[in-house]
Amino acid sequence: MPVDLPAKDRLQQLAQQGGKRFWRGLEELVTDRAVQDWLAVEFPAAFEDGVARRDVLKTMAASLVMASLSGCAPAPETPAVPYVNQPVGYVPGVPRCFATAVPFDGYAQPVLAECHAGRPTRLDGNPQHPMSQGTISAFTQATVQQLYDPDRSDTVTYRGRVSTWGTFDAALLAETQRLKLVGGKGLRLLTGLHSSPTLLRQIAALKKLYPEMRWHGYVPIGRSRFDATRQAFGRSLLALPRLDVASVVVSLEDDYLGPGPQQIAASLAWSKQRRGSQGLPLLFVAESTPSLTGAMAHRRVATASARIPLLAAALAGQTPALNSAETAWVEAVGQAVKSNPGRVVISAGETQQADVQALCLSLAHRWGEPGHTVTYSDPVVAEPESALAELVADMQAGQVGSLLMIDVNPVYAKPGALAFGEALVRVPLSIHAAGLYDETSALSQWHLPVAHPLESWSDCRAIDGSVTILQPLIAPLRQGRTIHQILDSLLGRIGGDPLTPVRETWRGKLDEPAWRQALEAGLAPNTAFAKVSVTPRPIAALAFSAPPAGTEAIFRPDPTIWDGRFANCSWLQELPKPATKVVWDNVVAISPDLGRRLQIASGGIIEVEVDGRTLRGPAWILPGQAADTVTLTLGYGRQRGGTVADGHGYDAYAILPAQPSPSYAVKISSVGRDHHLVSTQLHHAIDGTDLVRVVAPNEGVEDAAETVVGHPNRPSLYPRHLYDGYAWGMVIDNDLCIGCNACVIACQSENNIPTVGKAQVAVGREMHWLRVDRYYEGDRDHPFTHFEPVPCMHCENAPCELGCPVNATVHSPDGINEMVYNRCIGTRTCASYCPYKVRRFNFYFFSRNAPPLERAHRNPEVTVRSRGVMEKCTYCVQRVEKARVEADREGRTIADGAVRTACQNACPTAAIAFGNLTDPDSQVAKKRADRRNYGLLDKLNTWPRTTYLARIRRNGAEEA
Amino acid sequence: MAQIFSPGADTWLRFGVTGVAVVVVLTVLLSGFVTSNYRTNMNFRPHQPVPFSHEHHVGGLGLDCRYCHAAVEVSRHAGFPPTHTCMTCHSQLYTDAAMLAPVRQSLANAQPLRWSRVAKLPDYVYFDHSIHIAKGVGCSTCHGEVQKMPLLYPAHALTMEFCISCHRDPAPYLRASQAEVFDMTWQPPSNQLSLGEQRVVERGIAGRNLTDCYTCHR
Repeated sequence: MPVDLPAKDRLQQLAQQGGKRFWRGLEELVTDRAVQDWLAVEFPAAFEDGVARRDVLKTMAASLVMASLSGCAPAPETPAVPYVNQPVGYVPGVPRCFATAVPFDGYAQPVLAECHAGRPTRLDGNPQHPMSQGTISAFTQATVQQLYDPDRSDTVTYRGRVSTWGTFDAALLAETQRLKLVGGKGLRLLTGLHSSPTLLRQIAALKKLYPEMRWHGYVPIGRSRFDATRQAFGRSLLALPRLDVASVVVSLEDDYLGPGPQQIAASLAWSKQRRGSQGLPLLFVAESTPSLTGAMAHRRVATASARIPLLAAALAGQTPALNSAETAWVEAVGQAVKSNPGRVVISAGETQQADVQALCLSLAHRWGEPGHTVTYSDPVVAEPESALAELVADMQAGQVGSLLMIDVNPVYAKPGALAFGEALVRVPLSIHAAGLYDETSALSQWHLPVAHPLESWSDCRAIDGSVTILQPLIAPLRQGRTIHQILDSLLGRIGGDPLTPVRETWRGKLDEPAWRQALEAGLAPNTAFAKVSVTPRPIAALAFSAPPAGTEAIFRPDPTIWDGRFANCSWLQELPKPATKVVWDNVVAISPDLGRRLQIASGGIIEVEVDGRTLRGPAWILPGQAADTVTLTLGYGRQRGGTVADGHGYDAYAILPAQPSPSYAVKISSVGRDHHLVSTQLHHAIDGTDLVRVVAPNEGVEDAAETVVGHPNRPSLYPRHLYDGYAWGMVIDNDLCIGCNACVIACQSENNIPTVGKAQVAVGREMHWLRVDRYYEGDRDHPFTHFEPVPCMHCENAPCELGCPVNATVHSPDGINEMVYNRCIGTRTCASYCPYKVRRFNFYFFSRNAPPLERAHRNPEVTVRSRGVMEKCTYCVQRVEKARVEADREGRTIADGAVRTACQNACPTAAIAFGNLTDPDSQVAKKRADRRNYGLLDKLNTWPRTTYLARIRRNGAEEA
Repeated sequence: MAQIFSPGADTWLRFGVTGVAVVVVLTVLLSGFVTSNYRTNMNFRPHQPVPFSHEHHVGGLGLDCRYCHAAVEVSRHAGFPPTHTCMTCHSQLYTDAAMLAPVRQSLANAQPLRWSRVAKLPDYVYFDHSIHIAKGVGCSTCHGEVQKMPLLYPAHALTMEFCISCHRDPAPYLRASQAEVFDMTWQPPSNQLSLGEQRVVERGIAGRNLTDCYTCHR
């Protein structure tokens, strides 16, 4: 239901009435009675439909008949198919884990892949890798879903017709012979960003064989730090701000904790400092659009991207004209810098211009302790020879004879101002190698299927420079060849095996034992880059100018499908975006003020015009967005992105100008129509107060949850459970949660949770067992943001257990609130009794429609639920039971840390602790004894097993 | 005084009584059917690609269960033997027997054999062989006397009732040693009950609530 914007004084009004400090969406601030009624309903959108009484009765009767019929179906015959020759070390029923990595914009994301009977089913972080420490991002986990994507292309095509690798090889052979004669003139290679030593070796070899060849590299949205480090230090470098040692972190629109290839490493470092430091590092963020880093900020100022250079200049001691909020922020930073000498980190975002970044680099050098608070190394990602724009110019000039594009989609993912597609069709020979038959494939002569990273031999460097050898976990499902095989055929080795190019790179560097060790550990020894010490060049005063008045547009990769490469992952499409909680769509984020001015509510369509190009997209009024800015996210509006991707959202690339800039002048106007946007921010709302808490350093909450398991001293009418063995419990530290959604995808992947599609989410039927609630605090325009992951609370006094008429949800002897699917008859009483709204109902047989290939990546340890069955978080009971069987078999008790839930395992900040509450030395019991520990809706006497630690915020006095 | 019963009351009564009787009979028949040997495949010998005889291999030759079902001590699944395991002997013995042709073809064409399962559990049951072996539940307790079966068939209907009777009281089934676990001819000694009670305590089964739903379902 689109609603009018609340008046600005509404919050004060609520506060005066003793009302809420925390709110979930703008709708809650509206006084309109109809809106409030709509909010109070459990399934808001479903309520609007209105169902007749007779229809209910008819459906009930039909359901009963069908249920009795389906109960008689015999179990399906499944043959037992043993191996012909069983691989050494394979034990049926015991999953095997292999260390490998998934490249993401050139940075290795170290993973441990769990394989059941040769099928990789889920990815975890690699605990042995310092850049993962066992944690993993949502993107990286979803790559396993891409592996089983039914839309993946499975054949070579030539001009849109099915062809074969043999035909391609013959065509390429003729072309290489021609190219050799002309020294590679007209040959161009287009790739994304890479750090793979094998790929770089192959490109160097290509340059030798074809001296005139040029290599173009790009990422869709211009992001580069090479120019900035050259300005600041005279050479290309990778400068790493050390969030784990700094006491003050200043981010000028640098989203360390946000989604992207560096998220895990940054989150690990940030949380290391945060844990045990009572609210450090002090995080100062200036940004135009709310980011995860901004949500964690100690002090955030919302300002236009074009004004960031002014803030940088002011921090450097210059005197630009700032508004009062900016001045206050700069002063606060100045204070913090003064009182924390040598412990300050500052950086500017990659989208900022090089001189602003360079200024921040030199400030970081001056305010911090070089080599400690900021370290430098050689760049991990290789700098391509030239960019996409030059390639397009050359293509238009007819200088490109043959073009090989590897794992990029430049027809779609590129600035709309670059006419790549038109130029591409004029290239005499165009070859596009990619996993999906996408927009670029359709306009290229040859399309080659590329093997997925989990099917490939390759190598890649993590952010510290250390190399992971990528090993295939499964033979290519779709006839794909690895990128190295394709490059090798250009080098004259046609049809070679996938391992040879990688072994060749490491010949002489890794002998056989070292190679095996590197594969086993997922980390090649002694490959991390040495730290470099640098001397900063003098930086001239920043030439800043006040940005022109008017509205600016900012382009960002989408927080859940990035630049469009994950658009065909239903997990990520249905993952609520951290700031808006919108699913299956991208929005044009505008500030509440701008919404008021345009007289538009969330969902209203606005027209955005940049440099004469226009697009229409649904507006989203985003608290915390800078006043005169709109944010567009890339990756949507696909034509040939796959069955999941196509038809959702608008294509922001269409209006992206060619010249990289932090922001662009924009004209916006309301079109006066509405788009059906689906956001989960008001779904499954908990009705209560004090759901998120904030405390000062070294303070506790007033009503700390009891630490004694079973609460023997509290009165209750419910049957009592006392525990002498295990009592599983979970503590979630809100102070560490950055809202990155890694836990949600981890849960989905571990527990075979289906995606349901936009229409079903719209009526509140999303199936996520774990959701991340987002709360705002304070001012409508500059709120603080809180994230709170909500799994099942596993209450001691669970209302659902008393509600169930068939005992399908019961209390286990170790305190888990069990859900027994084969008993459930689907009355949904438990869901209506649950005050936390964590129960999910299978309104349809969501899992049955999955194509056979998709079924292959289900976790065999977890039941695939049928229609008409309730489900919810089980505390990953399959892992508990596995640990219990192992312990029982050896006649010992389960050690602390032996059971790690999927969400806990993925969390890059270790915000989630799980374990045995009856063991006072367990990690979870210790956290529960923290004075910040509180239960949600504790006064209801449900005695939740999952409790929370309040967020810590330092106030003004401490920061001085 | 007015009539207490309406003119149709008698009809309603007959109708009601017959209805109740029909429901009762149907319930009895249905529950009988669900647990019937027909429904649970008891004593049914499904078609197998090779007429493998446990009677010959176990009863006659005395092969240990674990020679073929090698994972039974460490995994949920006991495991079926890969073709290579069959061929360890049959590359030497009965090398041209017609009934072993599918095995030889499997090896030659690298195509796995497809066996019909005899001991079947629904997908929502998570049975773990290893823990039962470790705690002393013998193979024959569930699989019957396979050494007497020329073609394998289920000796017990693996219904929830069957499982839970032992989970409620495991004492009658706990054997003394690993040797006894794999002994297909094991018979309980006369003092099994007291020995079993003792083993329940010794092996740490006593504190475990084996009838908890999540023990088998998740």
